[in-house]
Amino acid sequence: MSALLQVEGLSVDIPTPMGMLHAVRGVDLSLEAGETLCLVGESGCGKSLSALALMGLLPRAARRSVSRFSFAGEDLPRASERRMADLRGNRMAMIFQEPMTSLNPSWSIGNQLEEGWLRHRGGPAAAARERALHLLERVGITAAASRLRQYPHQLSGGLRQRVMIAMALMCEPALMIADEPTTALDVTVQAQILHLLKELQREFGMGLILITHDLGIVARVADRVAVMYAGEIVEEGPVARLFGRPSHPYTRGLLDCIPVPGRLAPGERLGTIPGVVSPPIGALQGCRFRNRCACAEDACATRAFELRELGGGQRLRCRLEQAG
Amino acid sequence: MSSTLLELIDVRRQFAVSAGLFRGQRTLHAVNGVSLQLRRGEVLGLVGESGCGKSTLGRMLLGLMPPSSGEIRLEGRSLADTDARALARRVQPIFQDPYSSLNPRKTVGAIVGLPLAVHGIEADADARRKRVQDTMERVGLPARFYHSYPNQLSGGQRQRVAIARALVMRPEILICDEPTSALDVSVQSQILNLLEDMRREFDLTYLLISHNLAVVEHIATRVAVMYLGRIVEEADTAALFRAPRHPYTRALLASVLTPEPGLGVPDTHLGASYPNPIDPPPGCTFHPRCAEAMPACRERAPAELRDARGRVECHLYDSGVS
Repeated sequence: MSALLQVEGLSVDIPTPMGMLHAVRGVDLSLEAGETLCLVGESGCGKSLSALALMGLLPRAARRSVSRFSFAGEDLPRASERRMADLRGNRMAMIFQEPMTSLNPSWSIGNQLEEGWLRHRGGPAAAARERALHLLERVGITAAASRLRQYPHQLSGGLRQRVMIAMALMCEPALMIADEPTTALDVTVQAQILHLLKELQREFGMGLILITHDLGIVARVADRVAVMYAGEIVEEGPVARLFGRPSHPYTRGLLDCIPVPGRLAPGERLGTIPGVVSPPIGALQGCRFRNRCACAEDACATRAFELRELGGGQRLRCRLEQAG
Repeated sequence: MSSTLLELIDVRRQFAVSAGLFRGQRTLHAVNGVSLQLRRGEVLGLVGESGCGKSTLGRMLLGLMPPSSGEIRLEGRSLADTDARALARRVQPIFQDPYSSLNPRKTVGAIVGLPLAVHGIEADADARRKRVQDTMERVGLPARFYHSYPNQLSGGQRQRVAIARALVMRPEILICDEPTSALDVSVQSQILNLLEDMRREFDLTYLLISHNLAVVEHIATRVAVMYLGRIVEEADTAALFRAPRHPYTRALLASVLTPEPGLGVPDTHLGASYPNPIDPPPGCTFHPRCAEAMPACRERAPAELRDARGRVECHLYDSGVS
């Protein structure tokens, strides 16, 4: 069976005045058509850079290296910028957190939707307009024809994100990457947008990589989860297993931090993870989480830890055996 | 029952907004007749979507903006008759974004000490410095940050600076407007624990403005739900989460994504998007999004029902209907 996306050994390095920042290190990802993979972690863990690296959208200073990168049967590790530009917005599409800054304020909604189609498919403008109209209706925008003539500032945040989704769908991508797509939205709108994304994924058979810091979203949306910390995947697995038997101290810490209605008695304290992330700069050794970890031992400072199979598709980068 | 500290009586606040080029001005009713009490020692959560007026309400309570009509009283005395400095000694804010609410050109010591300087408290420089350092220690900021600038701190540390600045005056009330929305989850839990510790230590009363219902459930003792400038439901936290009465409250609670795999994404049945507050729907302003709307909802606004559980504004609870 060939996966839609197979990535091995993805690394992103960024030179800084303090030394080389190893922002993403040795990340392996695979995704089947129709599957949802959630990348979860806190600010600076490398989840967004990993996605940008796949799309070929890294900032100029960043250096990407990857030992294997196959997408829909095509090997892309050294694909030219021209080839990536042909795939972007066509076979692979991306939506971002803040729809206001990712839409062009001086172009009408219609023109922005049609741009990608005309770039990749060509043909008469009328066909592009028809497709845009159809997709705006599909993502639940009322009075779609008049919306095509409007500009981003005339739409609410939820509507703008629906426009972004319609735009990503224009050329029927096989892979959609959504980077914190609902973080800027109200909770009610968030539920609606996630509902829509899942529905569209089924309809179009897309592979979906969803990047989020919200474990609630992960639990409700993901098939598989990869937890990232300081540039590495520290634990991954099928969603039910990962939430049922979280095994990395960081995963367990994150789950204890979030308030869940009804879980704690009044006055009980939330769990915390002490300390702050030490940025992965310069020569790195041992586990990056050890300075915040209650289970750390001397070995954690010197040994390199590989992702290790725990069974049931769950993998763990830690000295510890699986949590009980 | 504990005493009322802050009280809003039929408070309204309007803004004149441009309706578009050549279309003149229209009136936006950001807060449209809110009566609410904040009792000593409680944590009142104020929830609602963006644009519902919850931050405008917070700004009025801080005295940063007067109500257009109605009255706000601090222990029976109208804010209109209260000196701004006297108010600031008792009511202090914590804002959402610790990146923009701290002056980047002042040191942490100067930021936390500024309220003392403004109010002429601890005129002696050594005494002032000591009080600043004590407060910093209480909120978990190491003394070495005294000479640091905000850009040298992490998001969580900056929010601790904001909390220290609010507490240095020994206020009675904190108005917390989305205090953890800009923070990572592991930092959010630290700040929520700190807010709870400070409340106990200093006998504080909180108004917690938030759109995150899980956060509200965790620290609020009572919750008021706001929709288009009005409080549509109010109850003790446990009662509200166990049995929400207003269809809007139910939809809000349904959209909380708890970390339980297998449940999928809920359908909130909130069809239409948030209405334009310049042009609110007639009757009950929630009716275009309400799954249980009846003919009466399109025609007249529901009356407020007050009972032992709290209050609700919805035609479902009109006598004779349900």
